[in-house]
Amino acid sequence: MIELSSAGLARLTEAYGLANTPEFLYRRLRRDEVTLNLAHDYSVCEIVESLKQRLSVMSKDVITVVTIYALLVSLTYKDFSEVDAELKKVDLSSLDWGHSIWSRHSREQIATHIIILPGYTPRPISIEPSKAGNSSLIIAR
Amino acid sequence: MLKRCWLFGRKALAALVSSLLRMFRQNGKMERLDQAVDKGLLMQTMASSDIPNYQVKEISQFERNQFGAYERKFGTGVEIRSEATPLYNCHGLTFGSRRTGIYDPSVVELILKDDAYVDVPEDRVLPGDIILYIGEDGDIEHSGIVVTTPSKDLLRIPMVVSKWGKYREILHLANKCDYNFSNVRYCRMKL
Repeated sequence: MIELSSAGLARLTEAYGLANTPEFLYRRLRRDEVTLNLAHDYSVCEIVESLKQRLSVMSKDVITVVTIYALLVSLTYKDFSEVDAELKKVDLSSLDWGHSIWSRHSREQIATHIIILPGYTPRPISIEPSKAGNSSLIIAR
Repeated sequence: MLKRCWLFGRKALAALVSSLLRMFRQNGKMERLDQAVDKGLLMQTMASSDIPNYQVKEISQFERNQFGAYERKFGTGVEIRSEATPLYNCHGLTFGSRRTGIYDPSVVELILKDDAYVDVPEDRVLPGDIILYIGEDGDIEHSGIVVTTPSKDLLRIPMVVSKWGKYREILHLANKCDYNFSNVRYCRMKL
């Protein structure tokens, strides 16, 4: 099972104690080198396995809770689609802010380059070979 | 004799039901891993929207041990108002009269809207107004109540009372805390 250093745990527990919202906790944990090191040192499978083991412990030990949040946040440095598929198999409902933190990270993954203009229906027209490039789809105005 | 047996039976049955109920409640608490969490209170905004909230009832010794670090970090310029309690958080102090914790920033936005809070310019802030600390993502990460008007002597930084997560209620200069003072809003109810 993945263990965190006592210095790291103390810092993360401070953040956990001061957090009024899941967003604050997410930012503070993500900024901490502990979560970055976890992501660097362990694979997605190893982190998720450790996460599952700790989630299965029905204890109110704050060290367990803080470690779970650290593991969860470390996954935000990994490939999103791979982690998201793995996390779908994990029950985060026993954590107050587990879902909030992951959905907060998921929101960042949404493509932002699609623009839908109100009242305007795009209509593709024929592409002139001379104008056709790598990404040229001419939209009729 | 028959009457005594009947009374004893009733008492035994009541004790059994009571202990079963107690066990059920305790198991209900154990369902949450974070802390012993109770259901929230029935709270509504002025426009009758429900305010989701919950009370955390326990705090571990390990967490208490970390609190010394906060005191070393913010030793001067802060005054402690209460013992550490997880029962309410900053938003619970500002918007819930210290009764419970409000943890979802979108709920705070709802309260601001429904309760008709309006922004107050820095030079018009008065004691009793509220201060909102806006996080890097635009969410309200902390709140408190202004207790002194921002003066020029204090570089226009007011004294506020706020609750730091599960830690204590603190009287502090608005910038003497771990929350994002670089982006704050002052608000007041428009009555």
